[in-house]
Amino acid sequence: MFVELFREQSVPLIKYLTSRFRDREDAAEIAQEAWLRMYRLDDVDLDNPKAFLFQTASNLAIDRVRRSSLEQRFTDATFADDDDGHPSAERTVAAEESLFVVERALAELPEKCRQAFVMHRGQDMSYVEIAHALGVSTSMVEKYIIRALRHFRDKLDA
Amino acid sequence: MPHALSNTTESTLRSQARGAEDAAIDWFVRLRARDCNPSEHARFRAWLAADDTHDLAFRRIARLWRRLGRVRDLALEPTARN
Repeated sequence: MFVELFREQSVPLIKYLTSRFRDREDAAEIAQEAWLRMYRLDDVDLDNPKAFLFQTASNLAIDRVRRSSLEQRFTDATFADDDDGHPSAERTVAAEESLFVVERALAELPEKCRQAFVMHRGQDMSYVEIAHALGVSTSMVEKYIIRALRHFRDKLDA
Repeated sequence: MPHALSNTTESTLRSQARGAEDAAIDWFVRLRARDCNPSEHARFRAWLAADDTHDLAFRRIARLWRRLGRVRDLALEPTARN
């Protein structure tokens, strides 16, 4: 049941969440959480798994908006001068820092491993497409992605 | 030697967490394959439910994955270096 559901609904779910949410990363995070909840269920008494999935995601999205608008009100009240619609200097620095850390960790990977990771995460290419592009097997592509993720885990989660 | 003991416990815990993360990474990568099949999904679900540390590890990896969305900003020259 989950495989078909995932195959059919993973893109529609993201689209649905993005249309309500605007922020692509927020939408992806909520979709992942909704899928995890589906996985944690016993698959016995679910009449309409698709409806349940979208309802779960929708509830998570509403929770998120509620929480962030509370945080926003607190931030607005605390830093009233900073409410000009531009990202704060602090946030910009944090974003640049994390990009730098990612870039440096990426550069430490072997060539094909790095290419495979960028093609998959950065360009949404499938394992099969990457395998063709790099002239390796798809199982090798999976090994490259695993290796890259372990490396990033070590470098980014310090 | 309580100090040595607590060091050992801490490093054991750390290596357990690391082991769970390694498994979570393996699952994460497999689930993203287009040819991932129903029995693999069933095994993943069993693994996820087997231990709370598995669930936590998988969430950490999912979070890492989202952070790595930043490579989109670097993706213009994937083969720049030879």
